[in-house]
Amino acid sequence: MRVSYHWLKEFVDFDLTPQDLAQRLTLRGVSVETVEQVNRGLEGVVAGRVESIERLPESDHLWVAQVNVGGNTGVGADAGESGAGRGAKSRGGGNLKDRFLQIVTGADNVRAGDIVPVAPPGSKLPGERVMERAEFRGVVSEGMLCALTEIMEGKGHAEGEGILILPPDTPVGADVADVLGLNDWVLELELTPNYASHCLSMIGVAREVAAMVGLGADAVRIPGVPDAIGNPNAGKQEVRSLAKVDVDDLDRCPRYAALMLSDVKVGPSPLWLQMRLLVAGIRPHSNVVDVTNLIMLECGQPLHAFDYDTLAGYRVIVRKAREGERLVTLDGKERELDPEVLVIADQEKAVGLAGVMGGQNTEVSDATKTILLESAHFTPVGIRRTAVKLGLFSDASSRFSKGLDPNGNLWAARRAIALMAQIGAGTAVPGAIDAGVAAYPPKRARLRIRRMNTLLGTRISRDQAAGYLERLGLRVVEAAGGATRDDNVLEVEIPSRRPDLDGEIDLVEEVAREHGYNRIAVTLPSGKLTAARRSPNDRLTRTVRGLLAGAGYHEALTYSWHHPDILDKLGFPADATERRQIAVKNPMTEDGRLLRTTILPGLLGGLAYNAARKVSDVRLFEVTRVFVPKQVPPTELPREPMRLGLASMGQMRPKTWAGPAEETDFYALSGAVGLVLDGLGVKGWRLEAGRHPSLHPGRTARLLLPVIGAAGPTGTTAGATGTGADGMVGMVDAGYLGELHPLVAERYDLPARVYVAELDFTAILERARLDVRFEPVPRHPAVARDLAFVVDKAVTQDRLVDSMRRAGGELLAELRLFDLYEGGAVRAGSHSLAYTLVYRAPDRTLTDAEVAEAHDRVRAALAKECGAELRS
Amino acid sequence: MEERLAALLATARQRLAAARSEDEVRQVQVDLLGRKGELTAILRGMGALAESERPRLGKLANETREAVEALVAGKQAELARGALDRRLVEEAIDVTLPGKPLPSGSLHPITLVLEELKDVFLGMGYDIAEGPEVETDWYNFEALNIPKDHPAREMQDTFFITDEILLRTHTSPMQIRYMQRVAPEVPLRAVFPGHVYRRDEDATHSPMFTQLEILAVDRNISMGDLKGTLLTFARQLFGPDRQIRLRPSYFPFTEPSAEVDVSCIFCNGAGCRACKGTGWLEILGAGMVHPRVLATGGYDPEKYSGFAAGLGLERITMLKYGFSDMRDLFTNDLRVLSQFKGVRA
Ligand SMILES: [Zn+2]
Repeated sequence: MRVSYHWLKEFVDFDLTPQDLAQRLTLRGVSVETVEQVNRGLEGVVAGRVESIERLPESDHLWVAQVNVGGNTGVGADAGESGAGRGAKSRGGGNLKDRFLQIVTGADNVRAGDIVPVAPPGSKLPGERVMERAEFRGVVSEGMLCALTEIMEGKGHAEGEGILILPPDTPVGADVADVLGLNDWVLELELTPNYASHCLSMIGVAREVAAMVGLGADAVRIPGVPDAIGNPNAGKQEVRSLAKVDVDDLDRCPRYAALMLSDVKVGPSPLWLQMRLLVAGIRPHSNVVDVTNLIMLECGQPLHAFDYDTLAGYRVIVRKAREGERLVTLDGKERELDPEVLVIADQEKAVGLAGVMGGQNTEVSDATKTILLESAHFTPVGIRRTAVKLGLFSDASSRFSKGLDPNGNLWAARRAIALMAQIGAGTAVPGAIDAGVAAYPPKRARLRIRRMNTLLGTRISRDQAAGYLERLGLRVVEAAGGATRDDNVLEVEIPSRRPDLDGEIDLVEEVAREHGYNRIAVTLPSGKLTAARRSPNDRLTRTVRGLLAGAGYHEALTYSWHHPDILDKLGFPADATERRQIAVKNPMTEDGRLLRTTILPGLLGGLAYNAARKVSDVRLFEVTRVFVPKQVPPTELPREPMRLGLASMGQMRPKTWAGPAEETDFYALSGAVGLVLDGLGVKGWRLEAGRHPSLHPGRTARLLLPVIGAAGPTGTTAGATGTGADGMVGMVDAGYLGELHPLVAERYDLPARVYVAELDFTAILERARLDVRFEPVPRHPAVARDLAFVVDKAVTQDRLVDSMRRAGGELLAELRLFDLYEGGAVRAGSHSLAYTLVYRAPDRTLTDAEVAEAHDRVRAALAKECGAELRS
Repeated sequence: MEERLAALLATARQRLAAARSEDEVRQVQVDLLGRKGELTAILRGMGALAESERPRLGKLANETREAVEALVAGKQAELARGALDRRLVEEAIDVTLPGKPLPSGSLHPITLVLEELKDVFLGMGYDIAEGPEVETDWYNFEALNIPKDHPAREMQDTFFITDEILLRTHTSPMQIRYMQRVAPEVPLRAVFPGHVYRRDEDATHSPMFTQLEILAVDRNISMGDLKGTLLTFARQLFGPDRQIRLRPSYFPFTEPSAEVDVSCIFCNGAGCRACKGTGWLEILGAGMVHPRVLATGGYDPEKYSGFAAGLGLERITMLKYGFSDMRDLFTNDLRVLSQFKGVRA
């Protein structure tokens, strides 16, 4: 809603600058987005009378006009000093008041005697355009004649637009900005839906201003309507004999008024009316349509004018559309309707979508002789559904769907007919049809003063509250006082123009608004003190973030959705469970169609974004949700398990003077996974070779976690744990890590070696250690023994470690792989490994014999169980 | 004999003073004190002495040995110190060479702000809870006093999954879920962070963003308490000089409702580009929990009242760190993320 500052002053008195007005309205919830000057830089443009106009010699489209811009009035008076009128010369012997300019124009709507806007050299048009003298085919042009678009926006003529012809009584030399009322301000309101009913109109805003400045709603000047016009109770009732209105659906259209205008002369509106609409942001159309728009701006009620002679049977029927019924609306689109849509129809056909848009078949045209003006009240829900269903959001539908004054329709129609008659658009036909239910009685609500003060934290008295409500135009019908001041109650009548107000809490808000939110004292809740702690998961998540950030990973933030092609890109087979996904019905683009079941798309997208920008060394992590439906399409809410994702490419460490670069690899990734798991104190986890459609088949691991309650008792070093010969027993899958499949990397335009992990974070957290339990530091010395052997590469680390641990028993406290070597003297298919084994007993110093015995057991186990050839 | 001992000591002094290496010192030691050394030779002459002279000269010989040994030890220490000094000089390095890089990652700025906010509200006794991002129409709208066909649904253009299931448009459904969990226990104080979704995208809107919902329910909670709580929060987050301002607004699930502004953190209220000259920055929406919402949550609105507030973390993050385009928070561009290296929540 664009509110003209000057127009507003016609309705209510106030003494505030546009900026102060905007600020104070905003502070009472009538939010003003911007305050703009209507005049966007028009300066020195004056009204001039065209004395003569002739074709420019040798031109078929240019004219040369002699224009009198007045010598002693307007800008022309200061010509010499200000420069605004430079180039204007008095023609010798002429009237002293006359000042003539010779101007070349391309427009052909100008006749001698017309008063037109003239921009002399030195004058300014919007957009910082400064006029200069020019020459056309050797003829000097001292400025320009202006079209409205040039004056309003500084742009060139709109298509087919002529020079603006000003009213004939406009004084020559007058400042055009004044003539057009451009020295005004517009407040652009950004209204919440609850204020639409009473602030989407000049009168409504004026009521807010009246309450705000303390005058009260009654101080608003409502334009009067002559009693004879559209009076449903007057003696002459020609309208009722000329037309008939039937409302079939009183729920959706409780009230319908029809008034008529005869002897219609459709033509342009007077300039003041056009300007008023332009300032409000509405393009002028014709006198009839302009008046309906103006009255809608004035009081909020949408109106629609039908060409009476096109209404079959001169009947208006408000009914449900028939199945398959068609209507071409005013925007030129043909629409297929169904019985959920309420239409306005005549005896034969639909002629409009009720409360949304009129039909072309009954549109007012230049040939229209008689008008039937509709002013109806439609209830919000039906209009909203129709607008949504047809995707047709008009000014009218937006107003009706937010709720309007149900009693406001007749007055609006009468005011419009009166104004049409007044501007010469036609003659009011006596009488009116006022169909539908009787006027709505006012609603009533009770306001308990104590409750109000408790909620607000204020000490507002009963009389103060009553005053606030009354200045908004609410009526306090009873002010009951109880035994104490606290028992005071107000019984309040709410006028029909405030459909947003209903119960006590609405009155509390109105009182607070009038009182001023800024006057509510600042306090803190006084109730019982509560101690709050982070939940265990919150603390653990924070730990993980810290660990990974400390290890060089950057936390990512990715979207919960992806494009339908993404799982193909990731290589998921057609029957993958990840393909059971939740689809968004109305995504903004296809990139937002499917809710993710894996977090790879977001992280790989992040890597690709960086790679495309030549940022090649990237490590990302994210802790977030995936969405796993129980059915597709879902009939209940999906599971939203948490995942931890890691993604890395490029160098871990750059080449420096101190050493070579270190490229990221699988073991850097599994090291990071180990950092997280060990950092959380997860016991008994292990990795084993796995398969994942997006990952390199030879470089993929799956993470196994012990079934809860079955965690192994042993140490926590990566690769050094064990729960039994078969990793599957008592273990659950908790995600994957590995090198991205080269084909997937290629599809993402990523380099060859990219490493990703996607882990079940919920499962990890369930196994995290919540509290550290101190274990005494070993007091007895440890003995270290190295052990080197050659073994077939098919024997995994896990198997070797399991063998050594079982054989070493409790005495084997630690073991660490310190060398891995293949090639050279080692036969193909095998590699040479070297471990440091540390033996220790918690309660005694081990003897050489004990260590030797344990070490021999380990050696024997390696040879027997793993086929190792011992070298030391 | 006495002369010979004195001469030996003098020799020792002289030779040790001249010695330049450990080896030379050792040679002096061998020559003078060794089995075949000078002192041994002198002592061999003891047999020729008078019985009465022996104890005295024996003692003198011992003292001489100790003196020589002390001289040797002193010289050895001196040489060692010199060697160390030389080594330390030789070992000097250029301390201005770049250090060896250790990995350093970062937390996402949204996380940084969220963690800070959590700490603020934990300090005020608020629990933290999370809820589903895929939500029912009932929790997201109906239970919050937004029936179907309510115009307020247009305020939050919704991503739908089915007619009854959607991506939550705000964290407010957690008001209902949490009240249902703890009602009728009071006081209820909790914050609910999480992702929310709206069909909107430009420099200041992202179709997915993060909200923090604040909810307090108790007997006699007032709008003044809401103001006090928000003022405390604003000062902890943006500095002790901040003011807040409440403007009437509309949310169907609170009444009275307010938009909350904080005095501009850039110009301190004087007016600048960031605050469009108003001196105020809009940071959140808030209000008193609507009686119908309280009742749906399981609290009798005649006995209890509450306040709620919801703020967009992206907006706060942009203000706090000076982002001008919200989309920069979602690209995962390392050149953006690495600016937050070392900042920890
Ligand atoms: Zn500022």
